[in-house]
Amino acid sequence: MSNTLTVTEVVNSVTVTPVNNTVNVSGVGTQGPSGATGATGATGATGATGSSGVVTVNAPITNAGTSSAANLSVSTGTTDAVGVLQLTDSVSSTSTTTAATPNSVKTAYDFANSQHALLDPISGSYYRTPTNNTILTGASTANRTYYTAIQFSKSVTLDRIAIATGSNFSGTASVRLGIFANTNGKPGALILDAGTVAPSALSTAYSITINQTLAAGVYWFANNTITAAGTNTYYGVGNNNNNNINLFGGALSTTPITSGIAGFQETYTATTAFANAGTVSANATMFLTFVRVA
Amino acid sequence: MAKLITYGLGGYDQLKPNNNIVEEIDIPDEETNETN
Repeated sequence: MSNTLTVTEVVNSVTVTPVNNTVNVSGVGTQGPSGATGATGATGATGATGSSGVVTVNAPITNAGTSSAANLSVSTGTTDAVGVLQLTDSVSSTSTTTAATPNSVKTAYDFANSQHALLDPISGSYYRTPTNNTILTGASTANRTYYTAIQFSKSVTLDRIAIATGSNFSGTASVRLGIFANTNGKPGALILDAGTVAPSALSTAYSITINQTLAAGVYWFANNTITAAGTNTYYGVGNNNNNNINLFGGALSTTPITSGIAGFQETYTATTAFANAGTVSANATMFLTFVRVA
Repeated sequence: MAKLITYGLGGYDQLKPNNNIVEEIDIPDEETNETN
Protein backbone atom coordinates (compact mmCIF):
# COMPACT_ATOMS: atom_id res chain seq x y z
CA MET A 1 0.00 0.00 0.00
CA SER A 2 1.12 3.15 -0.95
CA ASN A 3 0.49 6.19 1.23
CA THR A 4 0.17 9.51 -0.38
CA LEU A 5 0.78 12.75 1.58
CA THR A 6 -0.82 15.78 0.17
CA VAL A 7 0.42 19.19 1.43
CA THR A 8 -1.83 22.07 0.89
CA GLU A 9 -0.30 25.53 1.12
CA VAL A 10 -2.19 27.84 3.41
CA VAL A 11 -1.64 31.46 2.94
CA ASN A 12 -2.62 33.59 5.94
CA SER A 13 -3.51 37.10 5.07
CA VAL A 14 -3.56 40.07 7.61
CA THR A 15 -5.37 43.18 6.70
CA VAL A 16 -4.43 46.44 8.67
CA THR A 17 -6.95 49.20 8.61
CA PRO A 18 -5.70 52.62 9.81
CA VAL A 19 -7.82 54.46 12.44
CA ASN A 20 -7.67 58.22 12.86
CA ASN A 21 -8.43 59.36 16.45
CA THR A 22 -9.74 62.91 16.80
CA VAL A 23 -9.48 65.02 20.11
CA ASN A 24 -11.78 67.98 20.39
CA VAL A 25 -10.78 70.71 23.06
CA SER A 26 -13.50 73.14 24.16
CA GLY A 27 -14.06 75.76 27.09
CA VAL A 28 -12.26 79.03 28.32
CA GLY A 29 -9.20 79.24 30.67
CA THR A 30 -9.08 81.25 34.08
CA GLN A 31 -8.78 85.04 34.00
CA GLY A 32 -5.33 86.49 34.39
CA PRO A 33 -4.27 89.00 37.32
CA SER A 34 -5.30 92.71 37.37
CA GLY A 35 -3.02 95.16 35.80
CA ALA A 36 -1.08 97.94 37.77
CA THR A 37 -2.91 101.15 39.02
CA GLY A 38 -2.93 103.93 36.57
CA ALA A 39 -1.42 107.46 37.20
CA THR A 40 -3.32 110.17 39.25
CA GLY A 41 -5.60 112.33 37.28
CA ALA A 42 -5.31 116.12 37.04
CA THR A 43 -6.62 118.48 39.86
CA GLY A 44 -10.16 119.61 39.42
CA ALA A 45 -11.29 123.24 39.21
CA THR A 46 -11.80 125.45 42.39
CA GLY A 47 -15.34 125.44 43.77
CA ALA A 48 -17.55 128.48 44.20
CA THR A 49 -17.08 130.79 47.31
CA GLY A 50 -19.34 129.86 50.25
CA SER A 51 -21.71 132.24 52.10
CA SER A 52 -20.41 134.40 55.04
CA GLY A 53 -20.34 132.84 58.62
CA VAL A 54 -22.68 133.98 61.45
CA VAL A 55 -21.49 134.48 65.08
CA THR A 56 -23.94 133.75 67.89
CA VAL A 57 -22.93 134.57 71.49
CA ASN A 58 -24.32 133.85 74.95
CA ALA A 59 -23.82 135.73 78.25
CA PRO A 60 -21.41 136.64 79.69
CA ILE A 61 -19.87 136.97 76.21
CA THR A 62 -21.10 140.00 74.28
CA ASN A 63 -20.63 140.99 70.64
CA ALA A 64 -20.07 144.69 69.87
CA GLY A 65 -19.76 143.93 66.14
CA THR A 66 -22.10 142.17 63.83
CA SER A 67 -22.97 138.58 63.34
CA SER A 68 -20.60 138.45 60.42
CA ALA A 69 -17.90 140.77 61.76
CA ALA A 70 -17.78 139.96 65.47
CA ASN A 71 -16.12 142.04 68.23
CA LEU A 72 -16.38 139.86 71.30
CA SER A 73 -15.85 140.66 75.02
CA VAL A 74 -16.84 139.16 78.39
CA SER A 75 -19.19 141.10 80.64
CA THR A 76 -18.16 142.07 84.18
CA GLY A 77 -19.75 139.91 86.80
CA THR A 78 -22.11 141.29 89.42
CA THR A 79 -24.13 139.78 92.24
CA ASP A 80 -26.92 139.39 89.71
CA ALA A 81 -25.07 138.13 86.65
CA VAL A 82 -22.14 135.87 85.92
CA GLY A 83 -19.07 137.41 84.32
CA VAL A 84 -15.39 138.16 84.61
CA LEU A 85 -14.18 139.51 87.99
CA GLN A 86 -11.17 141.45 89.14
CA LEU A 87 -9.27 139.78 92.01
CA THR A 88 -8.74 141.73 95.21
CA ASP A 89 -5.96 140.69 97.58
CA SER A 90 -7.40 142.08 100.78
CA VAL A 91 -9.07 141.04 104.03
CA SER A 92 -10.61 144.49 104.56
CA SER A 93 -12.18 145.22 101.18
CA THR A 94 -15.95 145.71 101.18
CA SER A 95 -16.27 145.32 97.43
CA THR A 96 -19.27 143.42 96.14
CA THR A 97 -18.04 143.27 92.57
CA THR A 98 -14.56 141.72 92.91
CA ALA A 99 -13.36 138.34 94.05
CA ALA A 100 -10.98 137.43 96.89
CA THR A 101 -7.59 135.96 96.15
CA PRO A 102 -6.65 132.63 97.72
CA ASN A 103 -4.12 134.58 99.78
CA SER A 104 -6.78 136.79 101.34
CA VAL A 105 -8.94 133.75 102.05
CA LYS A 106 -6.03 132.04 103.81
CA THR A 107 -5.28 135.15 105.84
CA ALA A 108 -8.88 135.24 107.04
CA TYR A 109 -8.86 131.49 107.74
CA ASP A 110 -5.65 131.62 109.73
CA PHE A 111 -7.03 134.43 111.86
CA ALA A 112 -10.31 132.64 112.51
CA ASN A 113 -8.48 129.42 113.34
CA SER A 114 -6.42 131.21 115.97
CA GLN A 115 -9.45 132.68 117.76
CA HIS A 116 -10.56 129.98 120.18
CA ALA A 117 -13.25 130.72 122.71
CA LEU A 118 -11.73 128.00 124.86
CA LEU A 119 -8.20 127.17 125.82
CA ASP A 120 -6.51 124.75 123.49
CA PRO A 121 -6.48 121.15 124.73
CA ILE A 122 -3.15 120.12 126.22
CA SER A 123 -1.45 116.90 125.22
CA GLY A 124 -1.28 114.34 128.02
CA SER A 125 -4.02 115.98 130.12
CA TYR A 126 -7.26 114.39 131.24
CA TYR A 127 -10.47 116.39 130.77
CA ARG A 128 -13.98 116.09 132.17
CA THR A 129 -17.15 118.13 131.85
CA PRO A 130 -16.60 121.62 133.23
CA THR A 131 -18.45 122.34 136.47
CA ASN A 132 -17.77 124.24 139.62
CA ASN A 133 -19.78 121.78 141.62
CA THR A 134 -18.06 119.74 144.30
CA ILE A 135 -16.55 116.58 142.99
CA LEU A 136 -17.93 113.78 145.09
CA THR A 137 -18.29 110.07 144.99
CA GLY A 138 -21.65 108.36 144.91
CA ALA A 139 -23.35 105.15 143.89
CA SER A 140 -23.89 104.74 140.18
CA THR A 141 -27.12 103.04 139.15
CA ALA A 142 -26.75 99.95 136.99
CA ASN A 143 -28.14 99.97 133.45
CA ARG A 144 -28.07 103.74 133.31
CA THR A 145 -25.90 105.74 130.94
CA TYR A 146 -24.51 108.98 132.33
CA TYR A 147 -23.63 111.51 129.63
CA THR A 148 -21.44 114.52 130.41
CA ALA A 149 -20.27 117.04 127.80
CA ILE A 150 -16.88 118.45 126.90
CA GLN A 151 -16.27 121.13 124.29
CA PHE A 152 -13.01 121.15 122.35
CA SER A 153 -11.85 124.38 120.76
CA LYS A 154 -10.17 122.61 117.87
CA SER A 155 -9.69 119.16 116.39
CA VAL A 156 -8.28 116.80 118.98
CA THR A 157 -7.18 113.17 119.19
CA LEU A 158 -8.04 111.34 122.40
CA ASP A 159 -5.97 108.37 123.59
CA ARG A 160 -7.71 107.44 126.87
CA ILE A 161 -11.23 107.30 128.27
CA ALA A 162 -11.71 106.62 131.96
CA ILE A 163 -13.79 106.56 135.10
CA ALA A 164 -12.63 106.64 138.72
CA THR A 165 -13.94 104.68 141.66
CA GLY A 166 -14.80 106.31 144.98
CA SER A 167 -12.95 105.93 148.23
CA ASN A 168 -15.46 103.42 149.60
CA PHE A 169 -15.78 101.25 146.47
CA SER A 170 -15.87 97.49 147.07
CA GLY A 171 -16.51 94.43 144.96
CA THR A 172 -16.14 94.14 141.21
CA ALA A 173 -18.11 95.97 138.55
CA SER A 174 -18.32 96.06 134.77
CA VAL A 175 -18.63 99.51 133.25
CA ARG A 176 -18.86 100.42 129.56
CA LEU A 177 -17.37 103.69 128.29
CA GLY A 178 -18.15 105.56 125.08
CA ILE A 179 -18.30 108.79 123.11
CA PHE A 180 -21.41 110.28 121.52
CA ALA A 181 -22.08 113.12 119.11
CA ASN A 182 -23.96 116.22 120.17
CA THR A 183 -27.36 116.61 118.51
CA ASN A 184 -29.39 119.70 119.29
CA GLY A 185 -27.85 120.01 122.74
CA LYS A 186 -28.25 116.37 123.71
CA PRO A 187 -26.36 113.09 123.25
CA GLY A 188 -26.91 111.73 119.74
CA ALA A 189 -25.17 109.20 117.53
CA LEU A 190 -22.61 106.81 118.97
CA ILE A 191 -19.08 107.72 117.90
CA LEU A 192 -17.04 105.21 119.87
CA ASP A 193 -17.82 102.22 122.04
CA ALA A 194 -14.49 101.93 123.86
CA GLY A 195 -15.33 98.64 125.59
CA THR A 196 -15.55 97.94 129.30
CA VAL A 197 -13.45 98.22 132.42
CA ALA A 198 -13.68 95.97 135.45
CA PRO A 199 -13.28 98.16 138.54
CA SER A 200 -12.31 96.18 141.64
CA ALA A 201 -10.41 98.67 143.79
CA LEU A 202 -11.33 101.89 145.55
CA SER A 203 -9.91 105.29 144.61
CA THR A 204 -8.64 103.96 141.32
CA ALA A 205 -8.98 105.33 137.81
CA TYR A 206 -9.79 102.75 135.13
CA SER A 207 -8.75 103.85 131.68
CA ILE A 208 -9.14 102.33 128.19
CA THR A 209 -6.68 103.04 125.39
CA ILE A 210 -8.45 104.64 122.43
CA ASN A 211 -7.45 106.45 119.24
CA GLN A 212 -10.30 108.81 118.50
CA THR A 213 -9.97 112.05 116.57
CA LEU A 214 -12.77 114.58 117.02
CA ALA A 215 -13.34 117.82 115.16
CA ALA A 216 -13.80 120.97 117.21
CA GLY A 217 -17.14 120.95 118.97
CA VAL A 218 -19.18 119.50 121.82
CA TYR A 219 -19.23 115.77 122.54
CA TRP A 220 -20.86 113.58 125.16
CA PHE A 221 -18.75 111.14 127.15
CA ALA A 222 -20.60 108.27 128.73
CA ASN A 223 -20.33 105.52 131.30
CA ASN A 224 -22.80 102.74 131.99
CA THR A 225 -22.60 100.26 134.84
CA ILE A 226 -23.45 96.88 133.34
CA THR A 227 -22.77 94.98 136.55
CA ALA A 228 -22.65 96.92 139.81
CA ALA A 229 -20.08 96.26 142.48
CA GLY A 230 -21.19 95.74 146.08
CA THR A 231 -20.48 99.41 146.73
CA ASN A 232 -20.53 100.86 143.25
CA THR A 233 -19.26 104.39 143.83
CA TYR A 234 -17.55 106.67 141.33
CA TYR A 235 -16.40 110.23 140.99
CA GLY A 236 -19.23 112.52 140.04
CA VAL A 237 -21.06 115.77 140.69
CA GLY A 238 -24.47 116.59 142.03
CA ASN A 239 -24.74 117.11 145.78
CA ASN A 240 -25.01 120.88 145.47
CA ASN A 241 -26.60 121.31 142.11
CA ASN A 242 -27.65 124.94 142.56
CA ASN A 243 -23.98 125.73 142.05
CA ASN A 244 -23.75 123.56 139.00
CA ILE A 245 -22.36 126.06 136.51
CA ASN A 246 -21.49 124.00 133.50
CA LEU A 247 -21.25 123.82 129.76
CA PHE A 248 -24.93 124.67 129.46
CA GLY A 249 -24.54 127.98 131.27
CA GLY A 250 -26.21 126.73 134.41
CA ALA A 251 -29.75 125.48 134.71
CA LEU A 252 -31.52 123.52 132.01
CA SER A 253 -35.18 123.87 132.82
CA THR A 254 -38.42 125.36 131.58
CA THR A 255 -38.52 127.52 134.71
CA PRO A 256 -35.93 130.17 135.54
CA ILE A 257 -35.19 129.19 139.14
CA THR A 258 -34.17 125.60 139.33
CA SER A 259 -31.27 123.33 139.97
CA GLY A 260 -28.48 123.27 137.48
CA ILE A 261 -27.76 120.06 135.71
CA ALA A 262 -24.56 118.21 135.09
CA GLY A 263 -25.61 116.15 132.10
CA PHE A 264 -28.13 113.67 130.76
CA GLN A 265 -28.96 110.12 131.73
CA GLU A 266 -30.68 107.27 129.96
CA THR A 267 -31.89 103.86 131.07
CA TYR A 268 -30.01 101.42 128.87
CA THR A 269 -28.65 97.89 129.12
CA ALA A 270 -25.12 98.05 127.72
CA THR A 271 -24.24 94.38 128.17
CA THR A 272 -23.30 93.92 124.52
CA ALA A 273 -22.56 97.41 123.26
CA PHE A 274 -23.68 101.01 123.22
CA ALA A 275 -26.22 102.13 120.64
CA ASN A 276 -27.07 105.66 119.59
CA ALA A 277 -28.47 107.69 122.46
CA GLY A 278 -32.21 107.36 122.86
CA THR A 279 -34.54 109.27 125.15
CA VAL A 280 -32.45 111.09 127.72
CA SER A 281 -33.34 113.23 130.72
CA ALA A 282 -31.38 116.02 132.35
CA ASN A 283 -30.04 115.37 135.79
CA ALA A 284 -27.96 117.15 138.42
CA THR A 285 -26.16 114.01 139.53
CA MET A 286 -23.68 112.66 137.01
CA PHE A 287 -20.82 110.22 137.24
CA LEU A 288 -17.92 111.57 135.32
CA THR A 289 -16.24 110.16 132.26
CA PHE A 290 -12.72 111.46 131.67
CA VAL A 291 -10.76 111.59 128.43
CA ARG A 292 -7.09 112.24 127.79
CA VAL A 293 -5.73 114.31 124.92
CA ALA A 294 -3.02 112.53 122.94
CA MET B 1 -6.80 108.57 143.90
CA ALA B 2 -4.47 105.70 144.54
CA LYS B 3 -3.87 104.09 141.20
CA LEU B 4 -4.40 104.42 137.46
CA ILE B 5 -5.11 101.19 135.62
CA THR B 6 -5.02 101.29 131.83
CA TYR B 7 -6.46 98.70 129.48
CA GLY B 8 -5.38 98.23 125.88
CA LEU B 9 -7.62 98.94 122.90
CA GLY B 10 -11.05 97.39 123.40
CA GLY B 11 -10.91 97.50 127.19
CA TYR B 12 -11.35 94.54 129.50
CA ASP B 13 -10.75 91.22 127.73
CA GLN B 14 -10.48 88.05 129.75
CA LEU B 15 -8.97 86.24 126.77
CA LYS B 16 -5.91 88.47 126.78
CA PRO B 17 -3.02 88.41 129.25
CA ASN B 18 -3.84 90.22 132.50
CA ASN B 19 -7.36 90.88 131.14
CA ASN B 20 -5.82 93.33 128.65
CA ILE B 21 -4.45 95.60 131.38
CA VAL B 22 -1.37 97.18 129.87
CA GLU B 23 -0.30 99.54 132.65
CA GLU B 24 -0.78 100.06 136.39
CA ILE B 25 0.75 103.12 138.00
CA ASP B 26 0.44 104.63 141.47
CA ILE B 27 -0.70 108.22 141.67
CA PRO B 28 0.91 110.48 144.28
CA ASP B 29 -1.55 111.83 146.86
CA GLU B 30 -0.80 115.46 145.96
CA GLU B 31 -2.27 114.89 142.50
CA THR B 32 -5.69 114.08 143.90
CA ASN B 33 -8.19 116.47 145.43
CA GLU B 34 -11.13 114.39 146.46
CA THR B 35 -13.00 116.46 149.04
CA ASN B 36 -15.52 114.07 150.44
